[in-house]
Amino acid sequence: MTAPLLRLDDLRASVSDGHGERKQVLHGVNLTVAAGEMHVLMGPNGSGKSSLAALLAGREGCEADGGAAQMDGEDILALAPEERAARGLFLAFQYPVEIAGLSLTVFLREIYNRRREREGEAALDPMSFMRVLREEMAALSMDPALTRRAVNAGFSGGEKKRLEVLQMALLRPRLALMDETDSGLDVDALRIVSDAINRHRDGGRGFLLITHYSRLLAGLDPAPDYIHIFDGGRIVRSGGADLARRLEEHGYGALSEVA
Amino acid sequence: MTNSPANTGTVAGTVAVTGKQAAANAPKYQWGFSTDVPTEHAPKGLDENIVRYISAKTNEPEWLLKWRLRAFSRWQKMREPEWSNVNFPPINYQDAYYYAAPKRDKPKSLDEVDPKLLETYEKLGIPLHERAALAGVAVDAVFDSVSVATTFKETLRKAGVIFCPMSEAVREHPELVRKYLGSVVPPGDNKHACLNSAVFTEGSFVYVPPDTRCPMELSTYFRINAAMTGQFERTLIIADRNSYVSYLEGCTAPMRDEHQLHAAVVELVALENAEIRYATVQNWYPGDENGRGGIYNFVTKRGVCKEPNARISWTQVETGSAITWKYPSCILMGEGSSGEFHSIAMTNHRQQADTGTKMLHLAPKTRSRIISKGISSGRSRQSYRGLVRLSPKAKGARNYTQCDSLIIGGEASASTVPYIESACREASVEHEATTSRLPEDQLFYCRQRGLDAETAAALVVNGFCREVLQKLPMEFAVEADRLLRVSLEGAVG
Amino acid sequence: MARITELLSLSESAPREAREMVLPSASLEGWRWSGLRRALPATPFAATDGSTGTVTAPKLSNVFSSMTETVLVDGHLAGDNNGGDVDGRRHINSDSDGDGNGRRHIKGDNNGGAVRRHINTVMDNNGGDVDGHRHVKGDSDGDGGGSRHINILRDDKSETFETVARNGEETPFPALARTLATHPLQITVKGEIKTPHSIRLVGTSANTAAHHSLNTELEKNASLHCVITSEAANNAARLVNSDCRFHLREGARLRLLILENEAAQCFRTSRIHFTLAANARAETFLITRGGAFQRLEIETDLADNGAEFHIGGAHALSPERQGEIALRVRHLAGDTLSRNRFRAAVGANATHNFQGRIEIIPGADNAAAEMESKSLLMDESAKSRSKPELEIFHDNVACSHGVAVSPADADVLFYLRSRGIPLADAERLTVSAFLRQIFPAEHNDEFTESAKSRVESFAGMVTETETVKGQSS
Repeated sequence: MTAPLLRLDDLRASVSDGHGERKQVLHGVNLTVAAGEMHVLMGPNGSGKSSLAALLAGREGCEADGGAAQMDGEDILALAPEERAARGLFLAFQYPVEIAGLSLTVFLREIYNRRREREGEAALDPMSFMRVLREEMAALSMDPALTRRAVNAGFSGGEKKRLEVLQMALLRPRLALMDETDSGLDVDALRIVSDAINRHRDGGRGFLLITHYSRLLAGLDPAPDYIHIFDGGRIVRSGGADLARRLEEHGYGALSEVA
Repeated sequence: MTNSPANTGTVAGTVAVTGKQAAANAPKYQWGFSTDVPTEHAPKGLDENIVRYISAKTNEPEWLLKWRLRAFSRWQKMREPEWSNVNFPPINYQDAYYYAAPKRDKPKSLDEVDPKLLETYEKLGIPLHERAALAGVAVDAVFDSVSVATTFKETLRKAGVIFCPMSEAVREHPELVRKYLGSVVPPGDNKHACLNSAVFTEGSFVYVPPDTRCPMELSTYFRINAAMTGQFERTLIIADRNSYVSYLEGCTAPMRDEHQLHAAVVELVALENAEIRYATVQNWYPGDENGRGGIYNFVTKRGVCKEPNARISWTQVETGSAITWKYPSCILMGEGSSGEFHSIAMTNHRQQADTGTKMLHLAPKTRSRIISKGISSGRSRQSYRGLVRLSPKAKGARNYTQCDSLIIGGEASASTVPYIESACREASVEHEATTSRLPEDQLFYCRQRGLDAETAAALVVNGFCREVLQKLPMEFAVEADRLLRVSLEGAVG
Repeated sequence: MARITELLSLSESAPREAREMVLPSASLEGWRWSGLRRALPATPFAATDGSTGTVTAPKLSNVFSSMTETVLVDGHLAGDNNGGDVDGRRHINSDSDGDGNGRRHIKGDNNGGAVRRHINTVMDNNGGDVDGHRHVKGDSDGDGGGSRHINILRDDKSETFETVARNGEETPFPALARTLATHPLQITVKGEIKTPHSIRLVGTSANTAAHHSLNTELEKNASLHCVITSEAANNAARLVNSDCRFHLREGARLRLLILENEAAQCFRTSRIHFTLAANARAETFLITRGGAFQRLEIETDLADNGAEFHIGGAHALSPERQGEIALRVRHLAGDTLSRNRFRAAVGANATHNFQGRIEIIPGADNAAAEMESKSLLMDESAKSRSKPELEIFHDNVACSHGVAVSPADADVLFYLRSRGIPLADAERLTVSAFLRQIFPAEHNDEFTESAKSRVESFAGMVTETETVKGQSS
């Protein structure tokens, strides 16, 4: 039997609070995501959801204190962020970073061509890449004029989130972690993003969606395979798609207590 | 007292006219009166004998006299700092008095203080009788070279806080004085500090014991009264582990046509997790609109955060002095310690000010913040000069500097001269500065609502300074605002 | 235990460090205090006899669709030693034939039949002329009716080193350059010249000194694009010293690109002086890698109403290198504008110094000035020192300056790496993005793009260790 796409075993972690103290944020997370599955992690603010995403992507300052995180049976915690990315892990940031001076087009071409080279394909020349880029941007209803800007510079909240989804489309990850990609989006933008996620459900790709609200879930088709309620740094309850509906009705408090 | 022949162009060199005459010339400086009390002077001029004379006046121990004499001999070889943006003729150090005191034995209590002196302080707005005094503020009143009174000594004694004139500290707490005097500002630091080390008289000494929050604001009020006299006070504040103290300093002088030298030294020592807040409202006589008279304020103020998490904050409101040369600084030695400098400098007429700060980050995670607001009007010349240095050890250190200048009128000038030196990758420094005139849209807005130009300007200037004014204790903030208004008078067309 | 030792060493060194510190910091005052004196080798560099080596350094001309060029090798006008023509005329063609090998061709005749337009710099060969004057005239290429005259002035040294050096206003280096330059250049521009003119200062010989002097006059409403490249053909220790003056008359336009790609062991001193008359506009990009020591002095006089000066300077300081900017902009009239933007990325053991001063004289009504210097420290041993001064003598002005020194943004690096970009490349991209901030967002013309491409190529060198080869002899 092959190892699952993502497997977390009793994963514990802490973050630096910026004053030299460490605060434990993950208290033993167990989760298995198989290829093709979509998992949704829901939980109140401060429950440690985003820390989990940061830890898996390798952000400095967030460190595992115990347990394991494996992709395809390989420990990823020791890998550099780019090595995790090279293995197909993608994080859509909750707060995408502005990089003044770095042309968006140059950046996207760079990450796109690196992915192609890793997969044994030839890098695209700038003209061919522009065609790909325009197509992908059109699918997300993104203004082509954005390509003339620097990465995220002067982008609205919605534009930033769509740029994250655009990068997912270009990188074709095997496992997509989407950290609050739905927050800050209006109804139309939410529709565009959920449609894009639906398009990328190709049967082989795993998803771990992190969200505070269930409104993104309504637009997902097919529906997510699993819903997990996250509280106090661990998963307190897991269930099928209907769990989100019950959460809507009863709130986090009631459902956390049951666990 | 005797006057030497006029020696125009040197400090204390012109014939002193009485305070009343000078006051008639420039009515705007309301602290410009002088007090007629019998005064005892050291002989004029400066040599080793004068240093011995000053030392003998307070029966100083031998070690301190030696310390003074060493400083004096060093001073004779030192050159004046010449890099600042101020101009003045060479100072004739031999043409001034280095010690002046009201002729009377040191009073044991307020009741023995010359009523004329009490009246003087009353007029200055600093009543010394405790029943009339500002609630919650203990005052050490320094008149020329001596301390005339210190209020609320009893309250402070109960808390274990030592607050007394320096001469008394030398007698009563020699171990503390000997340990810390000159430890932050060594005598050879610069020529003015060196002169102070040789001839200092009075100033305040504060020691706050461990785990103590000083129960009230401490304050020293400096008054130069005697003509042709320099003032050379020395202040030393030590905050022991986990202690807190807030200290306020105020200064005035009579209006005299001569320039008088004020070369003070202030040393602050903050030990582990201690906090010292030091505020100055400096209102020395600035000279008249033609630049005649006024104090040369050449002051060295420096604090050291010696141990982890110590905090020192300087706040200054400068409206006075003919020339200001002053850089209250912080040496951040303790890990996680922090330094702050908040300054308002306002110059008018022919005033010159070269002021700013130094923040030395010598340890990890140190923080510093500099907010400087300069307003120059008339034909005054003002410079902000500041150094922020991050040593290779200052990992995780941060500095933020904001430095704004307002120029009022076409003849004033403002310079900004920051030095930013980083040798530490894991640290960040940010410096911002602007220079502009009074924003017309704000002035117009105020005037449209019926305010006259001068009031509108005062309001806008107040807004410009707000960030700093908020750092002052309430009593001082009101005083500072009033001073800013007075200094602005006549500056706005 | 280690912690205690560290604390002890801290408490020992701190008072000493504190004592050593005085205001102002001497290292950032005038040239006397700059790192130069310490950095200069004891043995002086010698001037060459003009027997130049082969120029192999890549050149820029292929970036532009067309370009005229003046090349000086080791301080000597290239072509000086390329005799053999009988008629006394010589033509230097710019390398626009796209052979891409970056070699300079000096041809004996005009390449008139080529499809692409060649711009000739025509030189009157005065051989061993008695009057010591030489004239190079660039004929108009007809693209705008403008004309450019380049004169090589051999002996026009009316001012001596002594007289200028005594004038405390400037450092001795520009005076040295004017006195010792083997081939001082004089360029006069009339009308609009669309084809960029390139001046390449190439070094080939070790332990030599090259002095350059350039005086450029732009007449009323004239326009010039100019590229000055200072580059090393090999990694040889040498001194390159130049003094460039640009005099813009009323309404003149100058776009200037200065590229410094000197060897790690190079000592480079340079002064560029701009004088701008009414409504004149100069825009300059300065892109440099520094050297063993490098000091660039930029002095600008905005002499009359409406003059505008824009400068963007990027230092990509490779490990062990030093780069110093001394900028002084004088607003001498009303309605003048200056925008001064600098970025420095500093590698291991490299040092960046920035001293800038904006001066606004009394009566310069409505003057506006901005000065910004930001440094990115890319290694623990990198250093940055800045002293941005404002000296304002007038009230109706709007001036600002800003300085920031910081490490590369950890969030940015993480973002890039999470997209699969390795750390080294992420750093290179960060440096490049940072340095590109010197370009105004709206600029994407050919001239700016060529400057941007040079920023890209320099950016990667900041975090790379250079292999410093032994000096060639």
